[in-house]
Amino acid sequence: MTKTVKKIVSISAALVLGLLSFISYMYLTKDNYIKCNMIVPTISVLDKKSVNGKTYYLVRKITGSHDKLDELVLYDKNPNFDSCAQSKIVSVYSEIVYDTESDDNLVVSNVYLNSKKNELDIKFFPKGKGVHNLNNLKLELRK
Amino acid sequence: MAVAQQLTKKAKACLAKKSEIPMSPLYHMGMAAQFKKESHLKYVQDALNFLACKAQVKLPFSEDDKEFLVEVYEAFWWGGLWVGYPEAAKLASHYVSMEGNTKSNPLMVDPTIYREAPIVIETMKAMKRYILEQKKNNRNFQNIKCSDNAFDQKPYARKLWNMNENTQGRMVKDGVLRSPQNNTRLHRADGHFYLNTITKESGNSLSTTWRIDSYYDFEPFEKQQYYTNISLGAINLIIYDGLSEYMVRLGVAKPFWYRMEWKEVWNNT
Repeated sequence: MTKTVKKIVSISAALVLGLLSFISYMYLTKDNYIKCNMIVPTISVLDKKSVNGKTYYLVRKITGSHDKLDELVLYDKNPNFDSCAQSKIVSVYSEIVYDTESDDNLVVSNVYLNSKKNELDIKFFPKGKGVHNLNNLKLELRK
Repeated sequence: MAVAQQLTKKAKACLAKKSEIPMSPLYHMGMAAQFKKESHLKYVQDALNFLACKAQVKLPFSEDDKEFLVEVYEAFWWGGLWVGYPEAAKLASHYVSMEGNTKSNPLMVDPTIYREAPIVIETMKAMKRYILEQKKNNRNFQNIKCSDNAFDQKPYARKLWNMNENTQGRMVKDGVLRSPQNNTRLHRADGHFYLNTITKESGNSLSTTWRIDSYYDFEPFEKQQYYTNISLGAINLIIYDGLSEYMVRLGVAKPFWYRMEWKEVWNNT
């Protein structure tokens, strides 16, 4: 099939779909699913640790489309993310550890929990060292 | 030899996952978004997974493969307009237009969504204060960046770091401004950016050009394994950054500079 024919098929399909969407919008009053933002962050709960009666959660959050920010976020309660990667719990600390627009990114070596300050103490390898693999990070306690 | 064998193994594994390339991704993505038809989304996702696999082991792409990728980006243009993200739609379709604007000839984008974001409004206030201070002390006030270390350290700039990242956006590492997460329209166009100024004096007034320059490109598979979840109805379509970057090597996309710019004349006191 030629490119022009394919384009015509695509545009016709879009128009038909638009009409059907308008009809469905007019008649359907309730959706049975949660409507997310167009870009859904990538969330991974990397680790959890209980200290002094509190359970801390270490979360990796990647946001953005062509310009990604990769950050480590600390929660002092279970964030219980919904299917849109949103949480009703407010994080207590966050730090960007990789920015696709920066030339100065370092590789994270360790993540320590400072439970007194409700903070993370993130350590990095020297420039040019280490392998970027945030998914293997654990929440560590200083001895 | 071991490396070559490993690559051959990966290539064979990739071809084993061979998937049909859909003729009209726009139609299937639309069906998924509007009517929650998961089978349509799976059809497109399987093809994207297959092509991502091919890109990682550098298998040749057919003309149909390339055309499909371009059409996915073109579908973002339709979809972006449909759901009210015209800036993001413009950027996605420009990526496959092959114009590849340089920094000196960037694609101009309507700055309204940037100008109205709380983090930009507050940064402008703080930068204006800094510009006046610099001018009073006979220092450079003509070209200021929000990432300038001297500006970031000012007490009135430090508060930008503590703004609500969901509703207002905030300043983060290296003085970069982060879009409010709940402002999907801006977040989709630019997750983070730098605000720069060019200021000229004219009588009792200062004329400031506020400028945001950004580069539209993606990280290669060799560097990171990032992907973007695009919400289409009840499920997400996964677009691999590495595959988007590989489109440049295939000659069907080109990274480009884009600029948002606006002017303000304000009082010099």
